[in-house]
Amino acid sequence: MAAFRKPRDPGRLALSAFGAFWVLVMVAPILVIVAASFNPRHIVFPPEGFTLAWYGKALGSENFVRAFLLSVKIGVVAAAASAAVALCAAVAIVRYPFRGKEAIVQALMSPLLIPTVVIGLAIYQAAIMVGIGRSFLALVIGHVIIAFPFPLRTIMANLQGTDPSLEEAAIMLGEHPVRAFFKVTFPQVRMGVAGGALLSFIVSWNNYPLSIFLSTPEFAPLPVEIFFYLQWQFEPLIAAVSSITIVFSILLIFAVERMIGLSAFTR
Amino acid sequence: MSAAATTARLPRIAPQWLLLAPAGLLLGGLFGFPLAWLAQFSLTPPGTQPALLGPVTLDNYARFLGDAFYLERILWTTIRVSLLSCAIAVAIGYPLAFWVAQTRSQKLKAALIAAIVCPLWLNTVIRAFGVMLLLFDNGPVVALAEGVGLPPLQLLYNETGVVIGLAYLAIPFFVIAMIGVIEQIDARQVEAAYSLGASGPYMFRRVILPATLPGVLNGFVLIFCISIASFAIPQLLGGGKVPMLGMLIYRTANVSGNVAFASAMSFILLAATILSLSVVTIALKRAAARR
Repeated sequence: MAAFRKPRDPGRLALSAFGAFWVLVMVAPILVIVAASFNPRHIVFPPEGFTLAWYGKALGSENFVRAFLLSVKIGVVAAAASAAVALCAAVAIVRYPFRGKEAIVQALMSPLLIPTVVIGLAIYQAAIMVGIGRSFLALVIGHVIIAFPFPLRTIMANLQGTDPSLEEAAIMLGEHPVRAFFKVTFPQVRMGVAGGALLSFIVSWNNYPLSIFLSTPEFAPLPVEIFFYLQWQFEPLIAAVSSITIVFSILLIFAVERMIGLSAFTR
Repeated sequence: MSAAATTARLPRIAPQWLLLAPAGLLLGGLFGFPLAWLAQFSLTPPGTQPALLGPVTLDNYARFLGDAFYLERILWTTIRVSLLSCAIAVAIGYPLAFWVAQTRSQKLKAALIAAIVCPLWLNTVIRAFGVMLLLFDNGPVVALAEGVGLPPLQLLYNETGVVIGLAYLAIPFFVIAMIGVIEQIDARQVEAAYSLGASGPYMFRRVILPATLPGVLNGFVLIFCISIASFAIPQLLGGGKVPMLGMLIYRTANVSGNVAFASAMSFILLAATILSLSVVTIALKRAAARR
């Protein structure tokens, strides 16, 4: 895009300084957490010294390791489930004509519109009613619901770029429609499915307002565990745990960037 | 046509409905039913157990909407704090988006966008924690303010902290939404105006602002809806002392155990969300139609 301002405009320089400052501010809280995790005793910024001891404590902490593993487990199940459900729905929406399609797509996207706290309370009460209460199953159901629109979007976008005639040819030659889909079309939308599943994992991995309703102090995904901890205690341990989480999240970001591009999450 | 072939093997049910069934079950059964059950809760007379299709009353809503305490202390605080933080996010995010959008080097631009979006990929609790570390009494921001001679600042566990935290969460959303809008401005129009001798401020007022205003409104309503439902920020940065709806829904249900009242508050929050979204959508449609 052509620049909007004339070159060597003093306003342009001021804008650059403003922009650079705020970009720094945006990443500052993350950098500060990592820096604070090296504190020997108290959690302060700038750090008073340098130690990696808190990382050892974090990796040895039963609570945090348990929460980490629980988060991964919920994320994997929720990602697989929401990608599978989204794949079916996307095929129906993109490939078949039917009435009320617009309304159905809107309904399927509606979990994005409703505050997560409200979804959390609703699922929690329903889970109590049907007798599953605060459980792994209830957490997974909640996470699938809030994550599902993301793979639906990526898979629909990918499917729209595929040509149905090859798959139809395979069916006419006697291949079972389901197998024809997986042999012909699925390889073309694989990245959308994997990317969508990854986005679902990230939604689940980061979720906290829904999970908190379905957690107990002994049974909490990582963001909720960190939240509980932050309310009562304040030592560099929590900065170390957060830093590990940040590194894990950044690895996920790279994977998404590779697969579907970074804008997928915010679009 | 694959539709015909599939129908032959699976008689009676058309394949599209079969394929939509899992999503329908998920949305209807596992999402719609809990919401309906929550609605029943919100309509249950105080002090009684909710039952499917049980007795219905608007008492819980009346208690919230009819009480100046709840309206002023909670609803108005939620809206005021959200409006303020979103206004700050727009004031920072708009020029920031502008700067990023007109960065010439594609590599630098990608890096800037990555830095701005990066916080969005981390969970809110960790972001809130990072902001807390910056705003602490003995933290760098307070020290810096004292260094330049400002009176001692209290930035945490009050409304200021919540506003800062919410603005920090909102900026990346707003910037990303705006970059797309700004990139779509017709550069030729801008150049034509310049070559005809338009000044910078004139250009901004007559060309750039009108072209980006719908985007600003859209972005604003997006971040406003996120802010009014926020939970971690008022709890952690406000120390639980700034009463915002999202946080109080959790506390009313889980700490006070008044699920009926929490449900009514949930639907009031939902109504506020849908109302603000539709007001902006309708306004933008009208404006577009007029043009």
